[in-house]
Amino acid sequence: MSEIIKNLLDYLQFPFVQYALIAGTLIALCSSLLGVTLVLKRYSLIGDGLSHVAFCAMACALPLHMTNDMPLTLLLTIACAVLLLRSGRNTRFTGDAAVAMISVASLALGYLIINLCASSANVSADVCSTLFGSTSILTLTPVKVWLCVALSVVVVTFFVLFYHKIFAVVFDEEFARATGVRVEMYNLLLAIVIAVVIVLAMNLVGSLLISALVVFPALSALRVYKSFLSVTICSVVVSVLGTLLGIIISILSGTPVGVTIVAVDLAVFILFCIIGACKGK
Amino acid sequence: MKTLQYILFLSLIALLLASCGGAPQKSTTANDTNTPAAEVDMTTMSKTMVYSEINFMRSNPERYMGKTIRVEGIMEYNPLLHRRYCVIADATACCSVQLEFVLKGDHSHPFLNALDSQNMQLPGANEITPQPDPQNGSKIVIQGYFQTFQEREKQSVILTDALYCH
Repeated sequence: MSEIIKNLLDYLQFPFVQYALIAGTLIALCSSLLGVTLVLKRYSLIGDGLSHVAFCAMACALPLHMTNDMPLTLLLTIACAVLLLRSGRNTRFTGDAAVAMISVASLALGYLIINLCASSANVSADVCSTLFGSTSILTLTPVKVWLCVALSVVVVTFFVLFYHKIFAVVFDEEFARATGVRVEMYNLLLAIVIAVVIVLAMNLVGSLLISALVVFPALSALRVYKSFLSVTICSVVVSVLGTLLGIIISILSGTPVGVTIVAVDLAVFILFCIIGACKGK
Repeated sequence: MKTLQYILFLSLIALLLASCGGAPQKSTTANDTNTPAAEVDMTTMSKTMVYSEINFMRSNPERYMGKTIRVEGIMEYNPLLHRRYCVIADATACCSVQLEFVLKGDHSHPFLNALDSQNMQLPGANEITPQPDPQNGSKIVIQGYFQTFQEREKQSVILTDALYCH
């Protein structure tokens, strides 16, 4: 046990481990804040769809030889997020069908572009790393960490400032509209923030596992708590602690970071199911 | 029936947690060789940490310049270019990084002529015959001095005066 603690203390001296813990905490915080909103709006899979869009955008940046693919990725992901949230009101195109269509189409298109316009010999590794986020969080540069800090501040500020409006829009759009809340504008802002979080979270768990980061903490909290505020706070705590534990287990035992975080989130969800059952929910 | 479900859930969690513990530490070969201890010994680190530190080395070479590095990986020798690499895979084994090395006593590297590594070499290094190479694809542990060199306007990293540690 003392050996493990000694190893951990040694590893914590590395700058890239410190960057990973800072970025991981911020991403977990943001994704769990939005996770509650998305789960309650029945848009749990939107994270999955948008992460595939982000993957496609990153693939598009390859043949363009862009040194920083973040602006293009953000732009395309925001556009699709707005499209997806608007399609929820379209009766010909229901929300889940639109998410499914955009999700698979982006994934296929992204992989096709990478294969056709491969600029490096290590294509399969790039794809694998983007999809599963094996160690990308441990290879962050200080610039990316600062970008992560800035975007996280934006997300948290948005959530704190518009908490009551988000609450109204999530639970009953029609009632919110009747009481004068500009539902369309808040849905648009929500879509932008969701896209930002998805692009950030791709660094942590890869695009195939983002849904887990968004959905698990919220679902765990919903097993035990009832009010919107308590569920949100519990979701944030669960997400941040789960992510930190996942990163630490991963660097100590040599397992891939993304899947380890998701495994921890799954274990916490099962634990909360038991606690919820014991409380008689 | 509910009690049985709880017991099953708890057993599942116990299994999950048990699988997380017990970090598989790689055995170091430092003690069973006559090579001096390395300043940065990556043979005792987890796969995730080794892969991440190699990436960090490549982006921040100034932090490691001149230090002795010991690392475990897979042997890759290119006979046409006469260049040797230690290939280090990440935890998912889908990504890998190559760390080039030049054996002690080998002066055939095409880009190392301009490199002033005299102060890095051990006494009598020039007279030493390089160690025989292990087969391509076999597991190796190497130790050498961290250096950088220019290759077609690109900075690359390399371990010079390297030794195979058995």
